[in-house]
Amino acid sequence: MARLHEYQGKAVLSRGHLPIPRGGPAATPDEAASVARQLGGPTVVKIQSWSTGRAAIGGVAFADTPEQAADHARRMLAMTVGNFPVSHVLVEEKLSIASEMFVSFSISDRERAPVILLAFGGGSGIEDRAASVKRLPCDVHTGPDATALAAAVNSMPLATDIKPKVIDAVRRIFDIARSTEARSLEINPLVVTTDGRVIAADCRVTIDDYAVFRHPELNIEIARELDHPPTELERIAYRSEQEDHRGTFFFAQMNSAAKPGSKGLIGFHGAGGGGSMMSMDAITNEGFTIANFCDTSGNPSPAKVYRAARIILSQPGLIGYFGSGSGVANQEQFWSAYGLAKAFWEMNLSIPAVIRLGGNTEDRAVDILQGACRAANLPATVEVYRKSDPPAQIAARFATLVAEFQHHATKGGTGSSLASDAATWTPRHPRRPPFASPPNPLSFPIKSGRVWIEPNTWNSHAPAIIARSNGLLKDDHGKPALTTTPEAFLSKDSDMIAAEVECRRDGIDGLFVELEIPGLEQYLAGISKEGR
Amino acid sequence: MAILINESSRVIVQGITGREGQARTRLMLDYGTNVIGGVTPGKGGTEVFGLPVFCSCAEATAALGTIDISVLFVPAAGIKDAALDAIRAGVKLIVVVADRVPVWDAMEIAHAAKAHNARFVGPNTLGIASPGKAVVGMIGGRAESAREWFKPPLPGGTGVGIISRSGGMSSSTAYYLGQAGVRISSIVHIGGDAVLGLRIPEVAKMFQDDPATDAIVVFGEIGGTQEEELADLIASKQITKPVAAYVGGKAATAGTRFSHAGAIIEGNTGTHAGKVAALRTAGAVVADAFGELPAVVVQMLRAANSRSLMSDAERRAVWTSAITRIRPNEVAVRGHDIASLMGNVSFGAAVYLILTGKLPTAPVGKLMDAILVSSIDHGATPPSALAARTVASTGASLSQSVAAGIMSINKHHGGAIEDGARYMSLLLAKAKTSNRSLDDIAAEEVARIKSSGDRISGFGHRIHTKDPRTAKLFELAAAAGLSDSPSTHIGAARAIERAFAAIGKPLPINVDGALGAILSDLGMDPRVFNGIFMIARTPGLVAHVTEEQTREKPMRRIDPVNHAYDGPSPM
Repeated sequence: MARLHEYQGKAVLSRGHLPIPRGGPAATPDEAASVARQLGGPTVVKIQSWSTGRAAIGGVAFADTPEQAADHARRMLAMTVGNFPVSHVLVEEKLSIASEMFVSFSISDRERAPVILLAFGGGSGIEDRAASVKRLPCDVHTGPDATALAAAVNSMPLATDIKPKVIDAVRRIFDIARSTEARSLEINPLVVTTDGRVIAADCRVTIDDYAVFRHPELNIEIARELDHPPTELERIAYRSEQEDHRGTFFFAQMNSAAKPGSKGLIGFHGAGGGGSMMSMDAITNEGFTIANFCDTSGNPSPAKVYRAARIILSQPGLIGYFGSGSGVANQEQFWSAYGLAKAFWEMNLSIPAVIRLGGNTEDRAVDILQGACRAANLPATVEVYRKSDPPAQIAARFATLVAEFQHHATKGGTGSSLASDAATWTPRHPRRPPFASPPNPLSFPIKSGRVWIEPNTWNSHAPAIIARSNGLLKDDHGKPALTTTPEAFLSKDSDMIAAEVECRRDGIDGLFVELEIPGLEQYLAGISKEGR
Repeated sequence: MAILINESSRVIVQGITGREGQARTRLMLDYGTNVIGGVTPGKGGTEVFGLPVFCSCAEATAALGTIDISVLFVPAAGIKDAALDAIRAGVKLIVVVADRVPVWDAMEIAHAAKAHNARFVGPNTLGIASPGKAVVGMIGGRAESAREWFKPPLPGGTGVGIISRSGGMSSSTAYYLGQAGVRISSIVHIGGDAVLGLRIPEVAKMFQDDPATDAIVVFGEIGGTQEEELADLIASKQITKPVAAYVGGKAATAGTRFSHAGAIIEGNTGTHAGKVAALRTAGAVVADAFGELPAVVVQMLRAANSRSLMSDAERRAVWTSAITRIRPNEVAVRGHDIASLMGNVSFGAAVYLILTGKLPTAPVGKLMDAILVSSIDHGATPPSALAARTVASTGASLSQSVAAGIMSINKHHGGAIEDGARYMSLLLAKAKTSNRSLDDIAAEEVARIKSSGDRISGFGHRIHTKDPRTAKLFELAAAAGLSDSPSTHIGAARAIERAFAAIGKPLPINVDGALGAILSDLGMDPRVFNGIFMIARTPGLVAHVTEEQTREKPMRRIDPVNHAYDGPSPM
């Protein structure tokens, strides 16, 4: 679920006519002072993070003056919550509270319908007062039942003139949840002020990932559940996923270093949600720390699998690459094999990899990836497996390969450390044949990329390349030409990736498919600078 | 039996004209699913693989009658409208394959389904498979993969029911269980989303009520409460069949979604440890690693004396056949002891049994006998008799000569049975999709044939104007309960006959046409129709060959026309 920060959530509430405290976000101490000055009077300054229990870590503080607000902001903006630096604080009027309530909108999988929880006495510790919580099942179209809502509110010790305002607020919360397609919307607390206003003092809003496309007004960057704001690499992954709807690609970074006592940090590449999780369990049981979770499935294009592999291999410190899904995939696995083969060649993969491509067309898939990696003569071993090889077994095999590789790599060096630098992955720019750049005129655009052809060897390689191009290329008086229109050719990236891999496997170096991954080059440049 | 889908479930495909819709329709048809049509707004009146396409589900039900299942190959953004269309048209089971369906759309579908007493599977489901019967959705991929991976129950036997929250793992679970010798009754991938139509507890109850299921295997995941609800059903004895489970996501951390929207740990609910503990406490067996699940299931089935386990011989077999089981001192054809068949059923009934797997009723058995008798011989002039006699005259053996006769039974000799049957099926489909009467369609066809000069299989004869075999066959068919009605092949044949008569060019149904219509209405596969003719004609060929070998000179010149009959006069 796409989470909104408190200040973003409050903007949504305000648009839905649910009263919120006056105030605004600030990214610098000066901005905080300025917001406080405009508000006048005492303020509250709150860090904007996704964690709960902000008060306990000093993330909520009251200020009597704009200067105090700036001081709080300065301290908070230097904080790191979880692994993530605080980028914003919210400065709001300090409310004079008469009473508090807890209102939580969520979706019940059991009832397949929305439900609202309502309790008197908000703030923290609501989990411990479960008995006092009223549960209001909702109709997806009309919200909570009017009689049940009135009864729930009437049972609360509230002034008679306040009750209609609370009922109205709950209705608005449902309407806002419905209009923004929220997965959850928690107001904790909903405050009754001493001057009789009903105000949402805090909020946690998550929007349904799958509906984000219908809500550009929410400015959501990555519509995926993560326990942290997106990392740069996750942004790059998400962007490339948005541009290719053939299959799905999901990428989340989990660890940047091996856990104490672990066998090391590895890149993980799953296929299919359940199969990925099961494979992740198998490799974790084997004692490895996974750097990332990744899933390419739903009949992904080879370009998608290629990009996923490139992004996985943009993480430093890996000692191996482990790929495994359900093992009995309903998708055509040979396409994934082409994507991986291309990525491993471009990366000149120098850490061991174990890839399980079981399922439909698995024999073809294994032959392609194994054959291509052998022909590429990669510095490290790549082994490919089928559905008959269980995940636990290939995870154990992976451990053996990694141990052997580490042993050989350290023997030659001086280091006594377990994972020597020589055997540890350093993200790098991809290999690219010299002809795959200007001024070579022989290139054809494809979806998010370009197909390059070596001009000097075309005459001798033409029959071999044409034979592997699935009928898309021809020879036109000594020059390569398309058999389709340039527009139709745009969507033939899968065929051309297959052609490139097949050509290289047979020793023909005359065709290269350039596939863009916007932002990755800069990212790699950035981390290599950091490394030095 | 199976749950949710079997070989006779009537299935339509919404989005059938799209790339994915077409590809998946092909695979479902290949597996044997009874797909009867499709829906794509704006594409009504077209066809996909000969199946009629309609603009809406309401149009489809009007033309096709009851639709049991609609599977949606429609992108996420169009799912709500498509599902509501199906629900409002009275379809009782909707299969929503699309990924990324907005959760509020799913809730609206659930709301409408409840109001119309319909059910749905998904969103984000790979579908349902009842091995050996039908698949719906994309589960199993290619039909040959699905056949290889999923082991069906024996006829009248049982299998385990699989419920999975993961698509890939639903196939994996079924495959690895199959490798371990476990038969599968049905596989249901319930989907990975936060709001789902059918959930684990409901599907488990269906398996509990299904006589063809004797145990349940669950591939669970972290997040939500479905596994805990299943545990409650087991604890309260609402599920009494043995349950084995694996719960994925042990290594997952709270708050992050792992591909499936439903697989998210929120607070302390939905954890791996909590689910495993709940299931174990209730009495289910839970495998710690997925790799251990097959062994755990086999052990559970052994303990329960389950009929879902294959024998060692079946497991060792490289390939299998479902026709006849041979064991020492035992021969069983299609599950019937041969000694019990001998003297009790006629040859026609036995032919019906071996070709369809079912013993016919007495009148159908009698009809089968009549069909075989009707084609036993047609004199010395048909190509098969001539070929057999010609080869016999060269000194060939009986088997060689009869084989030569059989080899001449092809498209233009005997083949009219199958062609005629398919033609009548076409007329029936046309009448249904265009909502017009059979006579109307037949008149149109006859006019077309007259102007084009096409030949039409199953009508007219080079010798007979009133084929004596046809009337007798129809009389016996009527006795077996087959009727001349607007929905039967016999009805279609009669309509054509009437249409020819109406234009003053009587072209009566011939024996091939009658056989094609009757065999189709008996529910037999048109692919065996030529075979039935071969079975029937073989005695005649044997007679011709032996007569040739005993009465005639070798290497004689056989005149195809100029010969006379010298046997007894017909009584």
